[in-house]
Amino acid sequence: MAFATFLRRGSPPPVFGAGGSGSANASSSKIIAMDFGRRARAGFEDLALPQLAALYNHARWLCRDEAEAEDLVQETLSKALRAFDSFQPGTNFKAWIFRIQRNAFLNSRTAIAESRTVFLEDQEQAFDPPSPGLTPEQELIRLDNIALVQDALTQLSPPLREVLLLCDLEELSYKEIAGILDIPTGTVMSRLARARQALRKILQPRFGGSR
Amino acid sequence: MSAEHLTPTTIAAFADHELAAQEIASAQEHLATCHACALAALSATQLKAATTRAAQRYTLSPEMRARLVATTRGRTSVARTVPMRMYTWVAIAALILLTVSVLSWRGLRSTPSPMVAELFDQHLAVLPESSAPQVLSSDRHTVKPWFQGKLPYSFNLPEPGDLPAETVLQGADLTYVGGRPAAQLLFLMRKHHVSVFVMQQDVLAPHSNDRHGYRLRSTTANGLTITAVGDVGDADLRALLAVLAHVQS
Repeated sequence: MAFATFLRRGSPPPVFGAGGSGSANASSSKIIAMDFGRRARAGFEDLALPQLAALYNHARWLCRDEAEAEDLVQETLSKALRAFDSFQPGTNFKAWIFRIQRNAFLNSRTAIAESRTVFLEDQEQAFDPPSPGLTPEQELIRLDNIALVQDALTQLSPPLREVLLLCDLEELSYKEIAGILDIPTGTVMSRLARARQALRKILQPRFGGSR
Repeated sequence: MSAEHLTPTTIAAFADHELAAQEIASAQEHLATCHACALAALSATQLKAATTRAAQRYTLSPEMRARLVATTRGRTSVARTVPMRMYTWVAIAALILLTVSVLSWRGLRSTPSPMVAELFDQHLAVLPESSAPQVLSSDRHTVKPWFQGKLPYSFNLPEPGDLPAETVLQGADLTYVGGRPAAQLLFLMRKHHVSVFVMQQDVLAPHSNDRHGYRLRSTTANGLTITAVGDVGDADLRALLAVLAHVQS
């Protein structure tokens, strides 16, 4: 199955094939932003404030610390405000600001500490075949237990957790996630598959499981 | 039936809504007939839904939201001073709350208490023509003994001649005020009905209260609280009360 045939869902691609009207819009909006800084800030608030809760939740998962997460969101907002001129209207603002937050996070204490632990990045290794031990009903019961799933999410390695949250919670497209994480779309998909497999494995009951 | 099973990638893309329209159609065609793939797609969808629920874990506190909104207004350097401001706002809010609650508490105190409402209601209840007094007599020597054994206290009634002008005793009811027995004396003052409640003094009736054209006046005498309710003038009520208070001593 060719990956290229997967279409993005949600917002249109950031750059349109017919670039004429798109770039005209972008440049005119830039002029407006320069002329009416206050209006631009109001526009920024209209777009950014609805994302605060999501940015903070994601920051908490990234940082694992309340104060650090708040600092990260704050840094994200001020960076995004300064870079708002570079945001192209008509593209997904959420993907744009999540990318800024991700880049801000890479400079944080947590990220630097994490970078010391080696993540076996997306090697095409063979996984264990899915354990046949769990019936759909048993699986559903375990998935219904939010605390159990939260605990499993905590046990995931940070890169796997990150891609899973961006896809399942933030509902960003593969292509948008690829843009945020700065990796190819194919890597997003394989990382997602790996994350879900790991999650299932953690959710296996301790008793009678494959262990 | 479609020839090939769906690949894990296709199933994931199906759950993630990443398939193009024609891919969705062919996937659904296969899922309709293939139990194994349908189960895998269901499982993928369920895992995704569970992840969504579980990942929505941390919520912004209002204070934190306020600090972050301040950031979008370009005030990036206020992070350290903001907590102080928050305390100030909290203190102001607490002060306002305190003021409001004190005012409303005082308002409650000045609005008619349940006791007042009860006294007015008891008076209104005896006004209809159909409601005859339990003891129907203008003779104080009939009315007073009637209460013997019904009230835990005794009281005196004035001579008919001592009552204010054009005022007659019509009868009396045993009633209950605040869950305790009380005497309700029914007077007619110039064709206006007036109820006089004779209660023990620890019943806290208000000194004076007006409501919907009816007046309530109280006095105390010899361990009794005497409260008159009626639609007559203030002077008439006070005159009647004075006579009743006088005979108690």
